[in-house]
Amino acid sequence: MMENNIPIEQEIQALTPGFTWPSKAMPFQVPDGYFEALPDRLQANIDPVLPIGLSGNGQPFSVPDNYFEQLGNRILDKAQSDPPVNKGRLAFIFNKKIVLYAAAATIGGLLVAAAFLFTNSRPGSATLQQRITVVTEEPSTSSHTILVPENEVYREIAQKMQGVSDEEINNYLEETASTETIEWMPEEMN
Amino acid sequence: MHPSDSILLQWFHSPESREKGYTAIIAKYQQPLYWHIRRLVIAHADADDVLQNVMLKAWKGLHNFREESQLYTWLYRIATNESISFLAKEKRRGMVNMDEELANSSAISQLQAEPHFNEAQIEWKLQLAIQQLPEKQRIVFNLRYFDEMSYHAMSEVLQTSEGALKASYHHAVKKLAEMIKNF
Repeated sequence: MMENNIPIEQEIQALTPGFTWPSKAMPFQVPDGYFEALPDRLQANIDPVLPIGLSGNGQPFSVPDNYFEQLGNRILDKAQSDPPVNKGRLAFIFNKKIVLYAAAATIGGLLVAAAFLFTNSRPGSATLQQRITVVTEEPSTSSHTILVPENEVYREIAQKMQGVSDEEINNYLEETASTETIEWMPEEMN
Repeated sequence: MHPSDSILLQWFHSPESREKGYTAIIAKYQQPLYWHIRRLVIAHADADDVLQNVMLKAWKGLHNFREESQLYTWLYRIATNESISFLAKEKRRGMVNMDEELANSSAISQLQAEPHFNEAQIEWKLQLAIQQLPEKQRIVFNLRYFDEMSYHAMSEVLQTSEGALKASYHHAVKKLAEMIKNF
């Protein structure tokens, strides 16, 4: 508890060389028998119920006797008596309404994408003629099949265009086509 | 010979030996704590009140005592805080805006009122001089000079760096030597 006297004495002498420090005896008086009686007096002041009621970890709360010993079995009994019900988080996520909304959104998305592809004329998409060729010719005879999505919309258009001759289509393209439309065309199509 | 702190704490933490442990802690630390408090508050009756509060707080707080810090520094810390609180209360009660100088002169009056006070005795001179130090230097000097506490332990008690404590102690020692020479 106490540091060695010598360093403390040396320290104070070094700070005040030649000065004689008083003894460490206390000049104060203490009533006779004060220290002898003090532990009993202090003991009488405390409320022994409070700390004895505290558990070993210092919690001020109390638990019924054998609570922790029986806790495991009580939980197990409860778990076994309740039938298993799949009402977890996943069940909630996949409830019927959500699945229906998701399916509707997917179908809607597909329709929008199909319409977009059909009407789109940005670089990278095929001309109407190419699309028609794909659905009217055998896939093996077309070198650009992969450019054309095959779906009901195109088949329907192709059917409607069956009465139009190639010559009429070529004339239409010559009248309307610009250089821009062929700049981006894949090499094999030029 | 007192049991070690770890034995005392073991006794205290066991419900069967709690009161025995507490009594043994009091027996071991009552005198150093009493004198530490007495040097700060001066009057025996005040020191007795403060010590009782300290021990009551120890009784309530020992359950949560973190054993990585030493029991005696923990008790000294409570005692120091209680003494400072007591002095602050006294200051408020005596005068709303009592400054440190006035508070020190009040402590000097208390010393002079002590039974057996003898102005010629060097030990009383030292006590008179100590009362003229600023509060922090007073506490640091007492802990170092009378309780022979290491700077490390003192830094735990006062929550101050060892360097700052050394500086405070050195200032206090020089001032006290000068004051005693001039009495």
